[in-house]
Amino acid sequence: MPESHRRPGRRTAAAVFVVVLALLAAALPAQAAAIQAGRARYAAAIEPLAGYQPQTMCSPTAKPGVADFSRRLLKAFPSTRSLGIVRACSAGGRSEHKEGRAFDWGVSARSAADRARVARVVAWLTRPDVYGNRFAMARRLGIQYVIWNHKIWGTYAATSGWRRYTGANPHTDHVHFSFTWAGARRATSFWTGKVGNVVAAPLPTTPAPRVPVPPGTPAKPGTPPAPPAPPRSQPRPADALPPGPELVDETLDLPGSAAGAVTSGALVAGQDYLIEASGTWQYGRNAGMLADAECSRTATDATWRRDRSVHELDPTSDHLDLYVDGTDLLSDPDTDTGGQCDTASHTYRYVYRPWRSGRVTFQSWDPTPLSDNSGALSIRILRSAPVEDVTFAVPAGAAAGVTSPGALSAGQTYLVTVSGTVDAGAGVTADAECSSTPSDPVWRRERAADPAYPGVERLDVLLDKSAVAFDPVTDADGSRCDASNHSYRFTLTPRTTRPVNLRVDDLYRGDDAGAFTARITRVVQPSGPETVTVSSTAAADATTARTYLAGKPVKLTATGTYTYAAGTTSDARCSATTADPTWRSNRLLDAGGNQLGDATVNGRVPSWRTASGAACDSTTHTYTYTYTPTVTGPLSLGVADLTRGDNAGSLTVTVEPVA
Amino acid sequence: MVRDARRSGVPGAALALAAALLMSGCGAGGSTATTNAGSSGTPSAGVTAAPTASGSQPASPSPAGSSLPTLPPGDPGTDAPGTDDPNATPSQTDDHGSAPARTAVPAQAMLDAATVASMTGSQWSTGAAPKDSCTAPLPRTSVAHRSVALSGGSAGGILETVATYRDAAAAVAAVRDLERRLAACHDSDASDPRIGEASVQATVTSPDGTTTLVTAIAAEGVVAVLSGKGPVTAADLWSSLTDLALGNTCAAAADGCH
Repeated sequence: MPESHRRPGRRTAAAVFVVVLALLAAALPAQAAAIQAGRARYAAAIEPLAGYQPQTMCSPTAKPGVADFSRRLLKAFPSTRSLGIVRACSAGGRSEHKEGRAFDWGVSARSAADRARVARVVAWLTRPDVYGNRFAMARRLGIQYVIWNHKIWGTYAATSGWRRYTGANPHTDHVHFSFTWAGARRATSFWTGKVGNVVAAPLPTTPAPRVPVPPGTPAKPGTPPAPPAPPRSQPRPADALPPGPELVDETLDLPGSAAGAVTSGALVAGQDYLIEASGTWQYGRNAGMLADAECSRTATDATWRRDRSVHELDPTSDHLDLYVDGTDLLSDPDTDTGGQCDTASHTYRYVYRPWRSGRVTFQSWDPTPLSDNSGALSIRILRSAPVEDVTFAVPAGAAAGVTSPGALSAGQTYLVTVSGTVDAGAGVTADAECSSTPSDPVWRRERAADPAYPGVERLDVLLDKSAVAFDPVTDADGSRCDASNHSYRFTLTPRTTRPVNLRVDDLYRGDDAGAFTARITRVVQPSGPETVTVSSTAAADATTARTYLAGKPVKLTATGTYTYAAGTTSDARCSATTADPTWRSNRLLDAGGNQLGDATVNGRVPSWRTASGAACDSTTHTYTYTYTPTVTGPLSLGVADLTRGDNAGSLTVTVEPVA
Repeated sequence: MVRDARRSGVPGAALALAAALLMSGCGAGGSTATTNAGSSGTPSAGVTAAPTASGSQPASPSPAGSSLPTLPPGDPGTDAPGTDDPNATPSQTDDHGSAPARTAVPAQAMLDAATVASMTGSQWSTGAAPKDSCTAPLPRTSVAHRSVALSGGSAGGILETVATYRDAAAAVAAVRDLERRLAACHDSDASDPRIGEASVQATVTSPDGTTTLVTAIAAEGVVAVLSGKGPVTAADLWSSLTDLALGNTCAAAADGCH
């Protein structure tokens, strides 16, 4: 049944609610500033309307999403105040304040200006976004309900609008904002851009005791068990960041036994950095107590989990995560092997934009003493500044691949060239696209070299985890394999400015060896002419020194003559013989009727034209052709002759982009 | 005008209270509770039971074994009819704060060593509360007050005093008075951290060079004054502690926690 038939009264109330908000928002106090959004833009994906997640634990520390929201509100409305986030668990009844999940915003319902402020905030929280998502900001923030001026509005009954609040405190001196766990933890799309889990409370697992007591062990009379040491506090931003040289690309180790690790270089406020954290560390003596940048397991729970508390006095916090400058990174797994964890490579990435400049500290939040920890995370911090030309190695055994040392700019064209061969194990040698085996040494593009997956082609180089079709730089036999130089190219025009990741697609990397060489160059269409000498005797075609963009036409001008064979002279299109000195365009044909002796461009014979329109230019031997490359790269120029041993001389080809 | 009626009924008592406080010192124990008799016009009967907000649960919840509520306290149910304007001007008689001030400050309103330890990551214990001084100031003209001293060893120390007032305006006035006293004691730059209904924060320096961070907050007729020394006064940590102290004041408020 349509909602309008079911609850006519609520529709009316909701409509009145929206109209009133609009009217009140129009009366915005002059001193109010915009509420700062968590991100510059949002995707269409959004959290569903949250259910109610009551307080179940004692965790009286302000959760980061609530604290950050409160700061934004107080900044936007400088005359308003905070009436608090946390409350001791012994004070009063059930309340999300005891879990640091609620914020009381100090405004007065008796003040018209304050009422307008509240109206503006509520309108901001509940209006549809550009995608038509209703109650958009409230959903993105993970808010579960709001109490104000005798009324309550909850996402669990969002379309009902405001309903009468029956609690003893009328909330006329403050607005109460209550958050879901995901919102409180800053793990919703408002902050991360990714849809958070606001449906169920992602409570951490119950921590296992560090020193298990055997069952049945009698307690010594009169000696109560010693309380555990209080938890080490959650990482916080340093009061100030030390200066340093600007960080471009740095890798540091964060030992599990260290309180933190500081970068050598300084980050610049507002600049994007890719943070790539990999590896595992041990947070206790037991070898099963392992953590990576985001997930962990315990001695008794072998499942890697994103949320976990390891301190019984702090059961609702999410411990063992990686922090930078006091901020939980909430990074993405390279490969989600379940539960947003990466148990394959233990590699996570996060694009971090610091709010202040300086050298930053990385910390793993272990609330227990660090002295029994071991192992380390490897953290690479990469400035997302555009690069023009970078070369880097891609080891075949790098499970999470290698990320380019620099970003590719959105809308620009790049040539990604991968060269070399690697040992893929079991005698298989692979390049970026093709492979060769002991039993079949022919380089083949399609080969199921993995015995575990006989129908699946693997061992190719993946770009951003996707199989893209690299083109061979040279392809003598038309197999689309570069069996001589093992060099392949791919043209990429990214839509966002970002680094790219290259890796070998191999499920079994333990027996892999060697590395590819990757080079990424930004390509711009050159200007002015480039002249290339095309030898008629060279086995390989000549190539332009410059790279030309696909889809951008160039004018080719070929001049000169060369000896095609004894008694036969050829230019770019025509030929003459001693017996028949007339220059003719159709003299040299192979069995298939293809022109022989003509100048070729990227392996094909174009329709060369003379200036006069005649078939041949027997005077200057000059021909032109406007060519539009279909792939970005240098142009290959040659002559259509497979038997070049009897040739002599060369042609001259000029390449000039068409304006 | 409930508030005005209360205010007009106690001028003599307030004067008596001010005089009494000028004569009184600070509690000497690790945690002391004092009732300023005569200040509220009600019999002193120890810790007043906190009125429970409608719809709230009667006690701190247990993590397991109890059925969880499906709606927040005070939510009449999702089938309740919608209302009109959430921003209507409240009537003059429906404001809260009509209950008399508490004549004793309950222990739940104070910072406790375990919670502070969980926030700071170090061991804390209670200690002797010093007398009223410029670096450990007591708010004046209160109905009742209670002090607690917490020591965190190398993490520093905290003295907290929570005091109840006859109404919210009196609590705000007490913070303003404290601000003036701090200025008189020291050449300190006081600022407003914008917490509670009124607040002041100042760093004061003793003759021996020891610095103390003092924050006073008024909320719903209660004032909490925190004095801190050492690493515990680091900006973020102190901000968290004052937020917790502010949250705890509800246990001493006339209307209780909500």
